[in-house]
Amino acid sequence: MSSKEILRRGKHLFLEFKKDTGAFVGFTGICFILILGVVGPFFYPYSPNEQSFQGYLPPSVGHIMGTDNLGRDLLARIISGVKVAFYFSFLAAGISLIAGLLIGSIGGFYGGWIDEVLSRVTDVTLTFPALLLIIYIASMLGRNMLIAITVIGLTMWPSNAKVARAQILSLKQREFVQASRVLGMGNSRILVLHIIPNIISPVLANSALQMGYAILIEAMLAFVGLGDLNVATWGQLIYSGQSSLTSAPWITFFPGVFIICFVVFCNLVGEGISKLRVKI
Amino acid sequence: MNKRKLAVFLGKKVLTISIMLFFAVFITFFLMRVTGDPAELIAGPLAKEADIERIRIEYGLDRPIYEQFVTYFTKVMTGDFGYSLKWGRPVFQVVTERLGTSLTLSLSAQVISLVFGVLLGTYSVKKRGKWQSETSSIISLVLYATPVFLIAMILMYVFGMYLRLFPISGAVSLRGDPSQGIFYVLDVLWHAVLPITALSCWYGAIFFRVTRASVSEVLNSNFMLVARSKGISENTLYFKHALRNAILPVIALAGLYMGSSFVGALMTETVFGWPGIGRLMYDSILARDANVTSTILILGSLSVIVASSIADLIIFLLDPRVRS
Repeated sequence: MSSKEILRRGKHLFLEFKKDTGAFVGFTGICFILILGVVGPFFYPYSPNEQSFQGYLPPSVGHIMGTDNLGRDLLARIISGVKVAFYFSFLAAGISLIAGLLIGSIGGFYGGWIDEVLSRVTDVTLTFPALLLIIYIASMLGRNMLIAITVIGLTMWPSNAKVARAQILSLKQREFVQASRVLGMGNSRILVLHIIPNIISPVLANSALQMGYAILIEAMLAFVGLGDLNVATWGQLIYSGQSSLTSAPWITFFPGVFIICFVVFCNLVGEGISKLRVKI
Repeated sequence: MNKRKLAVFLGKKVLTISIMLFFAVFITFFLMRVTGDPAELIAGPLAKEADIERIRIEYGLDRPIYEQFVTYFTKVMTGDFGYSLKWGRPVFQVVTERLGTSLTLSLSAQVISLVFGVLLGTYSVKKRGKWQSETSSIISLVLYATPVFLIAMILMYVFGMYLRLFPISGAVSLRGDPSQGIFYVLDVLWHAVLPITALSCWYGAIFFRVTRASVSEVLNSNFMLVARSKGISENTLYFKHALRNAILPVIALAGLYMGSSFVGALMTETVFGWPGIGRLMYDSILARDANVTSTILILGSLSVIVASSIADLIIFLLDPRVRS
């Protein structure tokens, strides 16, 4: 595909996407949060770890979202949490996407005993309560963000695998697959070049939902006190605000709003992708 | 219905349940060994090398790993989960004590959210394109996106601390006494209102969204066209014909969500100080009590396996398409 072709298709995709109000709101919302996280630190006067003697300040002109118990500016901390949130959601959903696509498509495409084994593996993983697993591992191995991301990714893939498998089963008997077989293509080549591009959009839609879900899991992990203490995630901020819920509710409120918005946006984008008729 | 088919179905289910249970125990055992040396955990942080070695031999941890697994597996099957390091009592005892209070919470939340989620989901499809549908879908999306502990904290703040309508912590009042009969039950219910509401909001949003998607998919099928052309009322059309066909994925999902009910319990019980499994899990995490946490892990997956098998059974009994 030439760059011009990619540009044309991208533009087409964008126009199609724009018609769906929900998806468009979600997309702009995610872009807005991303820009806030990238550009924010350069323009915002406070640094996230700068302490002062003015703790528990309510939201005002000086501190838009108030300060926390150590007098650190809450908005600055939320902005620094954006980066972590994107790490978390993209990496976890990415691991889950790759694992799910691989296992689902291999099982669906080759069939037979491979499919049987991979489907059983999927079912067993699905019955293992992901969050309990992550909490267990985090409590034993310590609070490491990368471990948490990996475990979240490795427990979320079954739904991707199921989606991919179902799609492939309906696709592999179609004419274009037979045509490429006639042309002498091998199995792996057909799978990678012709089938996966055709099934990717429902899997991507599911991945967008999982990006939001990863953030929710991270927040829950932080809430049980097992978040990575070296990074200020949104969940960590809520956790730190819990003890002063009556006297300083804003410490809990604002990070909560960010989490809710991020997850809602991810869901809107996911729903938008699944409604999309244009191929990605 | 064909009895033989049912028997075959049940036989297959029992087989899959046992295989999955085996894997659940296997994974848990594997995790326990990978994440830390059990002898060091038992001995505590201040133990000397010789003590750790003594404990290792005493508990049979120096044996080959497969032998240890066989021992562990047979013990788990007989209900022996070892001793809790924190409470110094058998884990089985500690866990079963708390099971009742947790189940009260999560089962009632599941039932409430299932009823409301399914009915509202169908209603929202019936009113599609109107404001009722739009508002309910936005509310459900926001509720789904809110971490369940945040819902719990907001409820606690508004109804517990600000309006002072409900107690904010515990399962009984300080002077609660089981001998008081009906007053005691009412007291527990009064304490359970906020945790159950928090859990129901979360599950309800999920069930609502799945029901809505499923019902709107059914709307396009031919039998709905026939039903509509017969001239039956809108309510019968949606709540009888459409819902009966659309409810199956919701039941399947409800089975799977039994497992996350442990997670929901962990979150709400921590916020409200409800003395259940979730709170136990929280305390055991802090105490690094591996025996208790791993037992809860096995229990969690057991509940998913059993609940989704029951869901499969219900689907099997309800849906002639699955039976054939």
